[in-house]
Order: sequence, then C-alpha cells, then structure tokens
Amino acid sequence: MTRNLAIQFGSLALKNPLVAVSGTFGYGFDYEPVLCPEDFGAIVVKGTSITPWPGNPPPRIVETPSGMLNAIGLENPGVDVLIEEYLPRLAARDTRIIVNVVGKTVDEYVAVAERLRGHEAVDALELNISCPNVDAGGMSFGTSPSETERLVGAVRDVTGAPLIVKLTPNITDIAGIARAAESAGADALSLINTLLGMAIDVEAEKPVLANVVGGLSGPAIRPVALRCVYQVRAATSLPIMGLGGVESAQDVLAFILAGASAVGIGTAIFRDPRLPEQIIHDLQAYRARYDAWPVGRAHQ
Amino acid sequence: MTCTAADALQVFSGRLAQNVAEGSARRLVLAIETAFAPVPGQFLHVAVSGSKEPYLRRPLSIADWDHRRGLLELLVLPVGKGTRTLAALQPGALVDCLGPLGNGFPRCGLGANPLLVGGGIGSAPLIYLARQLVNQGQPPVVFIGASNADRLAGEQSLAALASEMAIATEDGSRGYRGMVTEALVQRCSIRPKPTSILACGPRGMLATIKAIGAAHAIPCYGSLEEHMACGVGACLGCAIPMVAPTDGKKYLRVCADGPVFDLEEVVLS
Repeated sequence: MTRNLAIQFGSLALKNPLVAVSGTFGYGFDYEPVLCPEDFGAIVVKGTSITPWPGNPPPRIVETPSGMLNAIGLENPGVDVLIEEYLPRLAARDTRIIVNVVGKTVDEYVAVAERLRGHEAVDALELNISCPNVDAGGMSFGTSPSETERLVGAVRDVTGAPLIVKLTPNITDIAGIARAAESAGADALSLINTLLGMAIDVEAEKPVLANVVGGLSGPAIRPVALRCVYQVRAATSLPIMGLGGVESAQDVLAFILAGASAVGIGTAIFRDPRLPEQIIHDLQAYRARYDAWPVGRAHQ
Repeated sequence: MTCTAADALQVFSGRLAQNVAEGSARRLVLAIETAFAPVPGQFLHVAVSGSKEPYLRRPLSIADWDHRRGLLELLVLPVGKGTRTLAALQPGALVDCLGPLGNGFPRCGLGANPLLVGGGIGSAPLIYLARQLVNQGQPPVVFIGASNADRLAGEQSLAALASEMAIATEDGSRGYRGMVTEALVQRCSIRPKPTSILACGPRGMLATIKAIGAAHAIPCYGSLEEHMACGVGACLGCAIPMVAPTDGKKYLRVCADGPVFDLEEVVLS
C-alpha cells in the first residue's frame, strides 16, 4: 500500500517532502525518463537572473571526499527564456515549481520577481542570497543581516508569491540572517547553500577551479546542514526547507526532526538518479510510525 | 519511470564478462540484457563503486556494441581513483551504467572518404564508429597515435575495420615516429583526400586537427573529454568555450551539447 507522504511547507502543499534543489536538476527534464519532475514534491529550477549570465570559465567542478566543489557561476539564459521555454512545459507537470532568483543588485532581484509576478506555473520564489561563486551580490547579501533585510523587503514589495530565502552556511551566525529574512517578510527559508572550499592541483601547483574557490556539496556537508537547520528552527518560526548531503530516507527524516518541512536533494542524484524513487519508497515505512510528519521533534 | 525505448536514457547493470589488458588500458566487456541502441560517439556515465569514494560517476565512451550478443565494450586507462577501480573489476561484477548519453558523431555528410584519428585511449569510440561506417559501406581510413606503443588503444579492432590504417608513436616504438597529426598532414596531401575527419583524443591533438582541417577545407568533428558531475546536461559542470559567444552565452556543455562537436564551434586551446 502506498502511504500518503504529503507535507505542508508553509502555504505549499507538497505531495512528498523531497525537493530537487536548484542547480542540480536544470529545468527538470534532463534526467527523463529515469527521473521526472513529478517524482518530487517540488523542484527548484536553476538560478535565474534578469539577463542571461554566461557563468564561470572551466574547470567548474572537482570531486572531493564524499562530495564535490562547483563554481558554475550561475550560468543561465535569463528570466525571459525561463518564461518562454521552460515554464509552459513545467506548468503541465504534477509538482510544485519554485524559481531560484539571483541578481547582482537589489534591483536585479526585484526585476526578476516582477517578471514572474502572477505567473501561474510559479508556486514560489527562492531568493538566492548565498551563492559563493559570483563576484557581486550573491553571497554578500546573505552574510549581512541588514543587506538581507533590504533585499528581502524589496522583493517582498513586488511579489505576492511565497518567498523562500536560501541561506548560506558561510557565516558565524546563521540564525541572525534567518531572523532578518523573517522580519523583512520572508515566508520560508531554505538551507544550506554550499560551503566555500577549494582544491589545489599539486602537480600544476595551482587551484583546480578556474574560479579558485567553489561550493562544497554532497554527503560531506550533511552534518553542517543539519546543525544549521536545527539552529534556525530554534531561532525562527518560518517553515524550513533543509538540504545538504541528503542521500537516504533516513537523512530526510533527520532533517524533518531537526525542523525541516521540505527536504532537498541534489548532488546525490548525480551519483544515482534512481535515488529519489528509492527514498520515496523508503519514506513510507518512516511515515507509518507517525500520525503526522514529526517536524522539529528533535527539539523536544 | 519505466524506460522502453532503446535509445531513451536509462540506468542499467552490465555484468562484466571480460576484463583483458590492451596495452596500458583494460578492455571491459559488459553483458547487458536491456534494450539498448547507442550511436557511435555516445558515452555511458558509469558508477565506480558502492562506496562513497570516489563519489561521482565516470563518463566513458562506448567503444563497441554487439547488438546481437548484447555485449558492450569500454576501454579504460587507469589514471585516477575511478579508472583504477574500474580497471581492477573482476569478471562477474555488476557495473551500474547511465546512458546512452550525449550526441554521437554525425552519420551523414561525411563524404566518400571519412578519416578517423584516435589519440591514446581516445581511440575507444572510433571502434564502434568504424564498425558503423563499414556497415554503411564506407570503410574508413584510421590513424591512431600515442606516446608509445603501450598507450595505443583499439589497434586490433580498428585494423579489422579500416580500409587503410596508420599508426604513430612519439617515441617510435611502433609505426611512424612522431605525432599522429604529423602523419595526418602528410595523408591530407595524398589522393583520395579525406572528405571528413572524425577524431577523439587529447585537447591539443584536436586543436591541431582543427587547424589541419581548416588548411585543407576538410570538416572536422571531435569527441571531447571532460570531468562531469551529472552527465545529462543539468549541472553545467563540463563547460567548453564557444568560438562565437553571444552576450549571455559563452559556453557549451560537453555532456549534452557534445561530446562530439564540429571543431569549428569550440575553443580548444
């Protein structure tokens, strides 16, 4: 018997807690028919800017112990291509569509939110204030409570869509940023984005990545992500999407217990695109233990 | 979530039927039972092991495919953690594959005299390509080269398919002494001239071939190698600069826009 895995993530009803996270799943179609958008409770499409961004020069990725570093640089064709090419196809799919929004200035974030305002295929916006791989904006917003408040407030003013703010772990006090986002009108938080790292080629005697530094993802970062979710849950009442190194139903449950009501998966799909199907299957046994998903129960 | 079309992306297991030395490389023969219809030049994204180390899959060219017997060949040169682990697999092992992936070599417009050039382990996809050309009644000229005789790959298989074959090694341990591209330059002046060049090998070799092709007005297609995360086009990790970038787009994806490119389209230096 298939158990109902539905969960409420803020105002979004998800059919299951699993979310394909931004930057790892393109616009949802690259893995078909092995893995499809509707296999997830929601998908977060690639970070989208007001104009096309070319991204960083290669090499952009390097494998690391239990994970990888990436410095893609938010390559994307811009919001107009998203609207014309991808959203119409995604609208037909039985899943929630969250658009990850990026910009170099507050005005650029606002412009993307305005272009997407009222679009029927868009269930929520995720403000990326935490990407470590771009020169301007990006993570600099996410490391300052006042900048976070200014950016979230400006976007809040122009959109009625549920507003998720994606937080960086590359900061001393993540709870402070979470509170700033909450006070500026965010509806939910997602965390964590990648951890800043680097790799050096000892033969070439130089950094592997052309961008020098990149974002660490994969199971290597899971304990950090779990700690952040736990801390943020204690600091705010906003719904949380937890992500970072998830690769099993047990990991999903751990994030739920820490305080997440949606759980992202990304890098693990590169390793095994069948994993989401397996996780959904395995989650049913966990779900059977509870009357309702035990969000935040590890705090009791 | 079911895959029925043989050319659709799928995840499948191959049972390792053979693992034999081919110079410095290993030839892995996988027995597979799933419907599978790859195009020459496509690749598989192969899981290395059940452990977390290494974490990511490895993109490997489909070296050959025997449709009737369900046997798939991969050539693996053990150079890093992933390839060393794969090269050491014992017959009977199950190998987890995602594929077929990417765009293969063009199948038409190659002219009467296609010429194939392989550098080192890059000769791998040329075997299946040569087989298809033979089946089309277009047996190709094949040039392969490597730093030394031990690094030549696919020689026997290619010799059985080629209308004409040349071998070059940088140290002269086998065939022409020098770069395979030097032998290629000489061949381009002899009739019948090649009408197209289809290549796989190191970036530098492909860059030289691109220049040779331009000088002789011969279209050149090359299969590129790159580190990959997803292998399907989602992560944008395997970027290659475009010759003609636009305002917002400067890179192509080796995995999904390639791995075979018209060499005029990509920056190889």
